[in-house]
Amino acid sequence: MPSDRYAVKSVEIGGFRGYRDPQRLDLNGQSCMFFGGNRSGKSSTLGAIEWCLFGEFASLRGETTGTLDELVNDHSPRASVTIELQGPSGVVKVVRTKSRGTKITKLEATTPDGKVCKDEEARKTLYKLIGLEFDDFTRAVYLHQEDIRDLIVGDRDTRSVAMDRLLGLDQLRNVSEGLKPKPVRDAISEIQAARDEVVAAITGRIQEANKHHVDAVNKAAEKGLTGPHLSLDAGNTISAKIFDNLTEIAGEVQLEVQKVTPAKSGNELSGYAAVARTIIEKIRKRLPETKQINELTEEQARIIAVKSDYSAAVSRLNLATESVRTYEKENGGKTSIEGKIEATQSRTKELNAERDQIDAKQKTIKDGLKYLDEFTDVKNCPICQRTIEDRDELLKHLRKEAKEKISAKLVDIDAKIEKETKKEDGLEGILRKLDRLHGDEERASKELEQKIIDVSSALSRPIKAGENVAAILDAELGKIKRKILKFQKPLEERERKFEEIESQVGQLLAIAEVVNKKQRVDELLKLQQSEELKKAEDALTALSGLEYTVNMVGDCVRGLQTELAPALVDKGMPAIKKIYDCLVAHPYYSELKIEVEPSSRGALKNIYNIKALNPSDGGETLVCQRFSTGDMNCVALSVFLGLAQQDTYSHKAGFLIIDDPSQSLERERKEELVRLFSSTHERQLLIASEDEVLLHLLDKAIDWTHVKKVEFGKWDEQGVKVRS
Amino acid sequence: MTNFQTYKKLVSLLKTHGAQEFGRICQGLLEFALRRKGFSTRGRWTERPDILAEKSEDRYAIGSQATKDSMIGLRSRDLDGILEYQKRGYVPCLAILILEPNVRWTMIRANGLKPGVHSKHALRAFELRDITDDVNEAFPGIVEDYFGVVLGRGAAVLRERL
Repeated sequence: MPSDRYAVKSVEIGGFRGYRDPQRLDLNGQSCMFFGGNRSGKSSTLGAIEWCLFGEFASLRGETTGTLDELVNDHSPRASVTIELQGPSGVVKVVRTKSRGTKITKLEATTPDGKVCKDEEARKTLYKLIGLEFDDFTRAVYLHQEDIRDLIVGDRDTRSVAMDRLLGLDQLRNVSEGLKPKPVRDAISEIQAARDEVVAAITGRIQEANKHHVDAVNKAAEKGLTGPHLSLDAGNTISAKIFDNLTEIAGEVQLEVQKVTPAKSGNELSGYAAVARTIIEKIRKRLPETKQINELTEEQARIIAVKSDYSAAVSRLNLATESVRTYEKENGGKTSIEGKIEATQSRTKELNAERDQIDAKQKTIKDGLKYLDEFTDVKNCPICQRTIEDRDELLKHLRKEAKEKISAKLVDIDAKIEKETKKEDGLEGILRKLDRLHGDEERASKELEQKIIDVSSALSRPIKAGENVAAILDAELGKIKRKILKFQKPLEERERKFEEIESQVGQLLAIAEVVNKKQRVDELLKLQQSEELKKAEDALTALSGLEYTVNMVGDCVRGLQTELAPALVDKGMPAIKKIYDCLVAHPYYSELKIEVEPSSRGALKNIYNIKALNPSDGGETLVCQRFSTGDMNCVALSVFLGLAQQDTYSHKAGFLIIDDPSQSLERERKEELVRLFSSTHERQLLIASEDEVLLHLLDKAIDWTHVKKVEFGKWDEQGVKVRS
Repeated sequence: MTNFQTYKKLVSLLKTHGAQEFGRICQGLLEFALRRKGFSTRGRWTERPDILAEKSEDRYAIGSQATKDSMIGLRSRDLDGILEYQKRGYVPCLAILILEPNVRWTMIRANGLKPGVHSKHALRAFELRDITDDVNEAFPGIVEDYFGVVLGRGAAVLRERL
């Protein structure tokens, strides 16, 4: 056996599947035949090796519970398998345990130098030593009953994987399968999409900013500014001119103007424009002409106000006098009205006296009537003393006299009295109004006197009687106006200068706007070259390089796989054919060949066709199409063992596990199988079988001092019965 | 002319003439840019490669790709047409226009590329720096010079003048 490989030195199994109490099998690197009936523990023993090394139990594929408690013996709390592997540099001890109720297993590996490592580190250590993952192990080391024929009847991809692993191309295959450019492409797409989003946002902003820039340029054009006049430099030139002009004028009014440094941005230019406008206002206020004009204007306003008040007072007095005159013309003067009132009062007095007389007469008649009513024998009239001739006639006469004549007279007199009274009331009203008008006239007169005093005060001179106040005021206003005009002339010249500067300030603002908008566009354009976007682009180029490398390495590895496979098959074919001759000894298809060709579609990989042929007539068939089940098992074993004999495997497992190899074989084939096993010395063979015929043949052919034999008794609740 | 102004002009050309004609226009403009930088060129308007360009010892078989998207689909026939010229001593080259406000060409080595959809920026991993710089220096000026006539008449005017 090659000394650089690991063989099984011992196996100790406890609490695993059919095993209850721990049992140790010392194999010392020798081949071993495990014999026993169904459910005696053979497959559990082989499976224990698989589980210990990889934590997997292939026979349970797809039939497990979540916690994998079916691996633990019903009467044990935990499963434990310990394997000692004899290797080139000493013994490696591997222990795997699993408690009931948890899927997690604990792995511990002790290397020949005494170093103990656990779990993931132990797994990596084992991989480094043996060079196998579980899939490789089940293809290249442990030939399960159910997997033997897969080599022949499995689908093309399964056969491709199995053959690659048998040929030792498993590492290359692992590499090529691991080289997946899709995640790289996905990452590229993801980063590119994120970058696109950012660039789209920036582009939108740039277009918007550019529109504002164009608007600003158009506005500047309206002020006569185009092309080269719209730069920061041009703005600074205008700014310098403005401040030179302002400095010159400001000196005349003792105003200090600070020097400006060239602006570095449109905002600074705008700031300078605002400062210039403030300075212009300050100068305007400080100019002497302005001050004098302001004083004169104030004086002018005051005189105008005084004149206005005076004119109003004159108007009011004229109005009052006119009202008195008009009223007196209509109603007479006060004396005349008072005379009329007296005459009216006198007439009223006379009428009242007359009324009293008539009233007395009426009273007398009433008394007489009353008398006559009381004294019916009266012979004379009680009023006129005439003899009463006809009493009734007299009473009638008196009653008529009292009722008609005297009453009529009283009514007439009362009407006259009322008329006179009304007349008097009217005259008194006229008199009151006349008094009021006279009062108004007097107040207007006094007000005018006050206004004349105000004028005197405003002009600072006395106003003599008879002087034309309005004319005096007009003369004064004319004087002020002339003075204002005198001061305004130099001021207008200054104002023209200011207008010129303000026009420059307007240009400066237009340039500032253009520069600002241009700066905004430039800033946004710079965003396109920002560190973040550059990083994204660097990541994209790096990923693209990675994708290229992944593709290239993948192509290389797959190319190597394709190139190596035919050579490796050629190398193994003599041994495979030799075993095929012995095991199959097909009456017609005497030759076996394995065709290797690269796949023509999809990813590059090897396609293996295992064919049998008849050299004499060229007859050829795929083994899976014409061979019996037993023959197919034998072909599979031929390939498996032949490649093992030729040492094509790249891993470091120095043992092969074969479960029930004689399945479906006739006696002659079993004899050949025994001869094959007995002549295989390249690897430690661990073979399980329940075949009595095979055991009998082996007993006759093998020297058991060099080969271990482990027999299993009938299983019971106490566990597996091992008899070495 | 700034890159942004170039970008605006190219977007106008794309909007006016549509994607297919825009591709032909960009091919013509690219050929002019190469000439301005001292390359002698031969434009091939109906077959691959689009442009054969030579300067001193450098010879390039160029396929032009001018699309507005950031991802670019490379077909086998696009690549094969260029790669064929590798045997004749030409560097197989894809000229890819990145149509962004910072518009630019990236000239990339085409051998080793696989057909499929690629990110334009990612392909810069294979950029041929010197010729890329040459083209990008000259291109804005070429666009400025020919924009007016091309906007009106499309690629035909470039074909006439090349």
